Amino acid sequence: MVQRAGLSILIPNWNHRFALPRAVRSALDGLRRLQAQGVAGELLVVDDASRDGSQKYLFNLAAHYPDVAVRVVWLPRNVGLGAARNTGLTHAAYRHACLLDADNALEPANLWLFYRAALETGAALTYGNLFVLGDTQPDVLSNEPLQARVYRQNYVDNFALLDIPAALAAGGYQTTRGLLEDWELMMRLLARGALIVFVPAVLGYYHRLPGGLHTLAPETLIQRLRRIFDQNELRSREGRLLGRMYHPDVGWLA
Amino acid sequence: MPPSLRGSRLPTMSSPSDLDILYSRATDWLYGNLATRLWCDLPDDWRPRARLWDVPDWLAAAPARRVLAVNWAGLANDPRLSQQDVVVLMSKVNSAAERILLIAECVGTDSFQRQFQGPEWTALVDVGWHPQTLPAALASLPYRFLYHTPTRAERAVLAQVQATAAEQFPLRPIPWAVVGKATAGRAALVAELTDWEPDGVAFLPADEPWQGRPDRGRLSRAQLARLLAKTRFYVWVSRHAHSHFEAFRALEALLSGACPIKLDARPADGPEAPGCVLTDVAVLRRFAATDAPARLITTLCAQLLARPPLGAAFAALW
Repeated sequence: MVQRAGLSILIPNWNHRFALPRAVRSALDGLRRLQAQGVAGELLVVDDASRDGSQKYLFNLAAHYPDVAVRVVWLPRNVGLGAARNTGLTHAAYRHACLLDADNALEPANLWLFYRAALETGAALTYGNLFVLGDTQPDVLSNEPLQARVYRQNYVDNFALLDIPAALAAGGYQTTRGLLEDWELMMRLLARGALIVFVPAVLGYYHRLPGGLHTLAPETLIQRLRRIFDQNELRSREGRLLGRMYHPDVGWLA
Repeated sequence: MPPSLRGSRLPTMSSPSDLDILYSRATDWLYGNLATRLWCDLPDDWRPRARLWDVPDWLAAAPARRVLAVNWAGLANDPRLSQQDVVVLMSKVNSAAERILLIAECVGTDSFQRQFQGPEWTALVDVGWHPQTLPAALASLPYRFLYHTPTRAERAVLAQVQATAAEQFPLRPIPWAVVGKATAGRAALVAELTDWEPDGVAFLPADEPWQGRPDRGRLSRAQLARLLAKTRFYVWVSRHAHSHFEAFRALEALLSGACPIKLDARPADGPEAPGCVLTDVAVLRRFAATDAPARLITTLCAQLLARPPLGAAFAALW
């Protein structure tokens, strides 16, 4: 698909009917605010063959919100998160995508800020603070410019703005069944020398659910990923700052 | 006056004097900057005989009779020093006739306590907004309080801020900024501020002790100043449970024309209270809806400008 200037908010969904309305509402609010700034956008949901009634909710989505472009891509069989995200990237109408998992929510007021940062810097990946909400006190994720310790453990969530051509040129998300596709794409972008930018503002809210996927990455998989990328001269960057920090109202901050 | 000050025998420093000011360029900029500003701002008759040293360089130098260690814990944890270097450093500081520790830490915290795990200090210079009462174990240590005022060069900037606050303050695009190492308290603060005005700046990097440098992705002083120059409220909470006012944050805010706001459920009162300690975000929201912030900036600038500049105030201690 030809990708024009603008933003597609991409929600991959698999059996998250209970959480979808929260994510969708935040996305639509964000898109309306972008529209007010003259930026084109769409909400693109990729349903990965859900079996929890998500389809019934998604069928009516476009009819309920006629003021915003809403599309749903239906996958006939479950392909996994990485492949569902890649489907979204290839179907997106616009050059930038905001990756929003179905159980999270965007801070709509700040989407314009992040979009500006992505455009003004030309970053392949633009991210910002995520509040982790759950039973305990709020915590913050994705909260600083990327440092080389990302090779040991990922601390930047996939909830971010991606430059779609840059992501696809890097191979998109890993589609073999695994749970570290976010980290793997980040490493491949770094290996290609892509610009990764942190914006010191709140991008959204990360709702920690009992048994959420983020808790399940096995150590063997983590070790494997480290070995793969250790061969790529990445170990020599240890101790270095890899990403940059930018705020549209201030300019470069790191 | 804190009890620890009463009856203390304070060393006298004849002026001009030979003085080595030690700081670490590799740990965090706050103290490095304080040391540099202090040295640059010393009165003309002090400057020729006062030397400013990045600590690794000082190891090879002949020490002055008086040594001013700015943030001892930072010096001892400078990543460029080996364990052996730190032993040499300690011994060399101890060989000086006068060994003065200069810090801006809250009494009762680990950060304060760590400063005394080292040389035998002959005096303590506490930089801040209010003098503090030293713990009993340090009661015999001569104590001098240095008000954290602007330097001569910074006074002109502050005067400009004072003159233009009323018109400039409301035009700033960023409603608030919270900057500091990530803690649960700061995350909760940002969550509350985001409920009020979502488009504030929150920079809460992971705590990496002794690594607060721009090459580790931390803000330099100049970058913080650029950020605060676009910001209305520079908001913070302490990392600890003690009641203490972080004067350095207030000065950084004012020099950039931002309104410093500390949130503390136990606000300081009395004639010395800085006036920018509010109890919670709800109070801040009401405060922000008035013209009081610009007036507070003007008042705080006037208070700081009424005091002698940093270097002169330091010289006057001796």
